[in-house]
Amino acid sequence: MKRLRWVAAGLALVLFAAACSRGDDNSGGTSSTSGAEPSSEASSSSFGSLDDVCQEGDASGATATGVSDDSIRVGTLSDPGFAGRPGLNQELFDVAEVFVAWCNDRGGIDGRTLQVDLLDAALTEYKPRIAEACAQDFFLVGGGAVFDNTGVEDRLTCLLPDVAGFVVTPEARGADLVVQPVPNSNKFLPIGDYRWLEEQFPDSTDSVGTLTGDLPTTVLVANQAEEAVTNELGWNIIYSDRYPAAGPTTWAPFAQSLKEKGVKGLIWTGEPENLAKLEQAIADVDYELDWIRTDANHYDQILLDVGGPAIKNTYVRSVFWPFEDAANNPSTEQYLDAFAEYKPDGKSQAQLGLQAWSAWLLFAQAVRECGSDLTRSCVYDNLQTVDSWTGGGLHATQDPGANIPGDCFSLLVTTPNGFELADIDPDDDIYSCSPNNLYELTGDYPQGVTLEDVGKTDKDLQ
Amino acid sequence: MDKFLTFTIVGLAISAIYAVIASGLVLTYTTTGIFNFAHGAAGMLAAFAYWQLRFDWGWPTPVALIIVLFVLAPLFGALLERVIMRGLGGTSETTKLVVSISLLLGLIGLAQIIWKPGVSRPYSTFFAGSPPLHLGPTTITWHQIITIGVAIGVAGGLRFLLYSTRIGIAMRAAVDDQPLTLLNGARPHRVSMFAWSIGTSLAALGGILIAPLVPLDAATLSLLIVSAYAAAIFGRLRSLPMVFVGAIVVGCTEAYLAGYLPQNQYLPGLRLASPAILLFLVLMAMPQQRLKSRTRSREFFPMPSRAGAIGFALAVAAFGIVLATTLSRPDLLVYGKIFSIGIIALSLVPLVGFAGQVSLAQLSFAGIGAIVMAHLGTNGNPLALVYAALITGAIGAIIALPALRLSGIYLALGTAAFAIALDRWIFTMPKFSVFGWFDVDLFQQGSVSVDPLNLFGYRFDTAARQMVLMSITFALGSLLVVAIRRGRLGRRLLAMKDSEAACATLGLNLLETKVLVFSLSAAMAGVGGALLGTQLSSISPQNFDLVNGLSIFALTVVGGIGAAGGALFGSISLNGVLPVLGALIPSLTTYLVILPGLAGISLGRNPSGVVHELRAAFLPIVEVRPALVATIGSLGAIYALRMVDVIDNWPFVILSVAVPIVAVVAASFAQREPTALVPDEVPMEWRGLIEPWSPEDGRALDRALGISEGQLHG
Repeated sequence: MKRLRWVAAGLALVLFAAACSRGDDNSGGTSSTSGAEPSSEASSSSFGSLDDVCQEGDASGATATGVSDDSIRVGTLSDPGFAGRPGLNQELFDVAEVFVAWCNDRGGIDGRTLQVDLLDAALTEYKPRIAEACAQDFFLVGGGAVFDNTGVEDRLTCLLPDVAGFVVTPEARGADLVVQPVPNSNKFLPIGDYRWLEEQFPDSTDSVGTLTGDLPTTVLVANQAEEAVTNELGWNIIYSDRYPAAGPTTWAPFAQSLKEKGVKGLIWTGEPENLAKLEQAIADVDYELDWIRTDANHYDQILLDVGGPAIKNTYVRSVFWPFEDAANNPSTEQYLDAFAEYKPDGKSQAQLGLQAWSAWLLFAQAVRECGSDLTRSCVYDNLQTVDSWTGGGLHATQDPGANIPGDCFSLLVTTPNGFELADIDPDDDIYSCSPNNLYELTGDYPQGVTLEDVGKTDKDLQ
Repeated sequence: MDKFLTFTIVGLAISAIYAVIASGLVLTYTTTGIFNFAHGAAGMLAAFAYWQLRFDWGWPTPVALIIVLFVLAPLFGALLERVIMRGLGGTSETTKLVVSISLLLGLIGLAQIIWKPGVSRPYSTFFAGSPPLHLGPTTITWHQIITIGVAIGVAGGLRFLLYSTRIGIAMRAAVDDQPLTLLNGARPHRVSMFAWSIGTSLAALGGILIAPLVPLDAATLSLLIVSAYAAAIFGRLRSLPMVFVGAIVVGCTEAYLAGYLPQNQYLPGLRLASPAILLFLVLMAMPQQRLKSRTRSREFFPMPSRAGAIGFALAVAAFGIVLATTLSRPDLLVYGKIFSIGIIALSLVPLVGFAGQVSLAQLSFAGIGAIVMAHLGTNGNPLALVYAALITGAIGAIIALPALRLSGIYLALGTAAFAIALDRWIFTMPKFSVFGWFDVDLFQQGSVSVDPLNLFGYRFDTAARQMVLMSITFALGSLLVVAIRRGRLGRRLLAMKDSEAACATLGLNLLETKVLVFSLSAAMAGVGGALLGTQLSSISPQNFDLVNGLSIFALTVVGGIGAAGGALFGSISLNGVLPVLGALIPSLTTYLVILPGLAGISLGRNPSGVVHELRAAFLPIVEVRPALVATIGSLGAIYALRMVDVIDNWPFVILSVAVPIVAVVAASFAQREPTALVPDEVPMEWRGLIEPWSPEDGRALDRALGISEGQLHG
């Protein structure tokens, strides 16, 4: 028995040392997937309104880090390994796998297949993952991580551009060498939905509250919303509080405060499960608000499942075509079909997934335009020229090149039958567009990290 | 008044849940003497099981309730008692603690394997659709009514059970006087199995009642129960009526804090941390316990010899250099934490291993050290390491003062409460100013960056340099620990662990000794944390939370808490073996979360630790000089071959592991007498008394005392 035990210990040591020795191809936090070989019977190479996204071709040459004659290696970051919330933002990895398989089945990008490293930052290990990506990847594509401020400087130092699925912190939102398909800017805030709420509920704007998690990033979002509605719309904020982001044991105090202060409209920045509990608590104290305004991450069935009949008057701002209405939008349908074909058990119905898919499309288009001469600067320059982008029709028009959010929006409202489009009098498909819908922020907020901050210039990018 | 009533109702409903959970905890503790840290986790598991039956499979509510509360939970409780807890007789409090902490980690892992995290699981309250009842100016929901009713029912039921049934009377008898109960023909195993069944059912009931109020998440639910622990301590883990009173005090305090604390950016965290703070206060308010007198335990930690300690330190430094020179940069980032976490684990050795004082807050001290490094160590100023040691040492001393009143399980709970208060409140606090002198911005409410260490102009800014630095620091730390063990302080600590009462009688200053060892070990953890910070280069509170700390604690005890090797074992298991297994067999990754738990649970069988066994297995090499020289020589040669790239990493690894194994076999053959190294066959102090004295007994005694052979009786 004793002998067995130390043999087992020895074996564990061998395994440990063996994996340490496997060189740079595959380490702890990385797993590498490459899609299937290009099939001869290539399906349609277009996606939605975009033609020739992925197809056979004759591009060749090892022209940059991660690029070879027949493949392009890119990295995708996410946090599913975070022990506190396992599976966090898994959809980014799922989208990466599905897109790569979908694209490679059609011949890759001009004949070069895509190869993706799934880099799991597990919340606290963003920096080492960036270090890995620096050494092996051509670009970062379709990823995002909660603590993305911790590696921006390293990413800029190694001149690794990022076509981000999403960005979180102000340092990353306004950083150099990052392109967002749906810009989340430090300088502009879309306010079309607030204008519409004001029209619908004119009595409510004197009694508005804001409630957000006590994380710097969500607090920043809430502060910017407060600035916009008070400065631009002249609203009156009578309640402003933070809840512990880990989730309080009881939401009753918050519900009670809303009732006591007579808050009629609530700007909520958080996550759907917490909002559902809050609305449950509001119903429990026998109160009802005119409206609760939330961001697109609340377009999630969980809100309705958890909150049940307590979910009332909740409006979700979105720039994406809703899944319920996929039949009327070919690109949304094509996205769902790709999931059904390549990863049926993947997390397809997620708004971040759509956004990441849009990032992959944006990247693929920019790569294709470079042809054989594929360099980081060529792709990045191409990305900078994109000023009107809908992800093939997945979302409303955006300006990724200038990093300015689009001025169109749609609004979903919760009903007993689920989410439905609110009647916002749309003028562009389901979206309502107007230059008035963008507010330029004036407050003193943290800014993005630039190449200059790490002693580089944009001429260093090759 | 409206507001006050509302919060009273909220408070009473929470109190009811705490009371149900805490009474189950007390039931199991009193009948078996094991404080079950995993009690909350059992409730969590039940909540998931109920979700599965009721909401996923759509069974009718009564059926699902009966299956979970009266079939699954009691069976699980009985199983725990039979398979795990019964094997813990005669082990120290530390071992019992580690087993139940490991069970907690294991159950969280198990729940995450069965119910894939990241998926939302809607969990509605009882009668969710019905409108709340109006109660004067305020309202009460059906779920709240049911919860309060259930708690009253449980109180009545337990009263009936304990006073009017035969098994209940046997349980009370076992609590009063176990040997006397045995003499009267009661069957203690049956009694304790029954107690565990009921206790687990009560945990399950609490879990099902609380689950709809919070997100259904394994770790959150398991740790929510901290408030219930406070209620249990209120009843001094004995008196059930006092437990119910305690639950009401804790629940209502929480509710009123939530309702009446002003809106302020510093306070949201306090609401979350309030159960932990209450737990700490209740512990402080307990009357002083009697000093521990002589305790016997199955653990055995031999005294390390001077040569052995130096050999170990050299081997550790060499291991660090080998890793640094053979691994690629990304791998170095993954495995780099082996030695820095190792230093934090090492800080447990003098405190827990020598002095027998349990601290679950070492990783929190490390977090404080890392913060100091981040803010005072700009440009890698090495003085920041000194500051980190001084500041964490001072905080450790402050924690030791209340800890003087506590011991065993109470001390563990107190330090866990301290760690939770830091996690939930202090570490997430925004920037504040200390009396207007200077601003403190701990983690900048997210993450803060740490510069690499700069020692006399030499910057430890690559992963390889850091690896070497950490391994040498760990080696020095292990020498310090051995020096403590061999010196005057070590003897004082061991004496205190053996019998506080005897020490006090002989005039040993317990206060001074405890403060010293707490402060020393906090300082070690602080330095470890500061170094870990320079390695991570950006740190956030998640790096230092209680659950991570529990894994380090558990695996170090599994390795052997009495020696530096145990600390290294714990850290290698966590930061070496686990990531390796995950990288080698990615499909296993989901199942790996359960391994630390399993390792800890197995501790009951082998309380002295794995390193103790490894040491015994490899001892022949050290005893046969030629074997030792040959082993070191061949390892050096293999490394040289690797360095000049004659062999690749794979053959290098296989050879390096094969050489010592071959050597140990050869050396065993070379030794004429078989190496009878099994000190646990006859206890040391009985050798030569209950059996004839043999020369081998002399050698074993020398080894245990750390004296070189023949020095005393040659």
